[in-house]
Amino acid sequence: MFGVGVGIRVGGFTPSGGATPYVGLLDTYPGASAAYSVRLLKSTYTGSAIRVRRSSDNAEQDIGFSGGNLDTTSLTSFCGAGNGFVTTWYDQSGNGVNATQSTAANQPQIVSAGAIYTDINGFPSIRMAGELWMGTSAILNNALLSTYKVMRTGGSLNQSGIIGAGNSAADYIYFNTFADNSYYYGSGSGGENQINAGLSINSNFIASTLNRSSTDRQVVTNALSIATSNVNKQTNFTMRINAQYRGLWGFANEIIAYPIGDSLATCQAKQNLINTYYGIY
Amino acid sequence: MAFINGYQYNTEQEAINAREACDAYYGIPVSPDDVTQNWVDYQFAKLNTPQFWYIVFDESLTPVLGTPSEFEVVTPPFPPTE
Repeated sequence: MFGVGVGIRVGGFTPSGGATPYVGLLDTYPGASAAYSVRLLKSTYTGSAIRVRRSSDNAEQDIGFSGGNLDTTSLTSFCGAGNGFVTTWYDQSGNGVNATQSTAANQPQIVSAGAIYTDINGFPSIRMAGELWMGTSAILNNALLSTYKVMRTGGSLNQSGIIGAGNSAADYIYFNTFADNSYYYGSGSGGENQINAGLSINSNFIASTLNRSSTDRQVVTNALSIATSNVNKQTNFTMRINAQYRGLWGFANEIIAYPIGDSLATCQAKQNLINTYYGIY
Repeated sequence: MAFINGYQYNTEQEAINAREACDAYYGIPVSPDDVTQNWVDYQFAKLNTPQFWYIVFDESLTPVLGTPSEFEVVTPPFPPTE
């Protein structure tokens, strides 16, 4: 009833059972500060993908991988006909920066009435909404940071997030819709920092924000340079998945942060490798 | 300024008591090792005068906290449209 392409989509990995060793994105491009995904990103990672709370009795269970993909069989078996909410999105970078949400009302959702959300090209997708977010202990340097997000934008205005900080308008990276239905990218507070990210509503994207210095920023979506800016509010901030304040109403499959300012060419290479798995562009 | 549908409290202790009532009703946490420790959390309207605490409405809260009300919460400024 539900397939995620095991043995079919082979970009960036080799399904288990074959003769070729498994190669994940982080094997090719190591050094991430934090890395969250519904697929296996590194051959040596032995932990789970997510921890899920089911609505039937609020019990929790770790969900791992099967052949490099999320173990959807275990996920649907655990949740039954009810809903499933993500309490932990495990960090695959090796830094142990797991993203957690201890309040049930704020937990992102992955299963609805027994069916896994598959809004991003049929892959298991985690639903984000206004008050749904996950926190970490990671401090990111906003002046030297590259982020990679496999995401689906929502359909209404005044959204933001997908990597965000606290309950304020300051100190986070956001994608925010405005009256022209396009997503703007900003960091820190103040409208002078925002640049058009070229994201439209209700669409799938591999989106990156590149901060190479306090005056050298770039937005790249689907391997295309969308905009650059020489303005940045240089601020360190705590990494969160989705902003607690004005969160993104959409979906996320993968969020990776590197503590380096990638060049455009490197960013395009990483996005292309990600895309061989997700097939977004 | 945002209009919030929820439950408003004059003291933090009142908000804590409401949160604990929800936890007890839904049996949270199920296990001490669970990540989920609360059913719902409260927020602080620190920019309002006077300040107060509140819980955003969810239909699951009705059996515990009753009928919600609508009130205004002062929110931080957000970058304007370019």
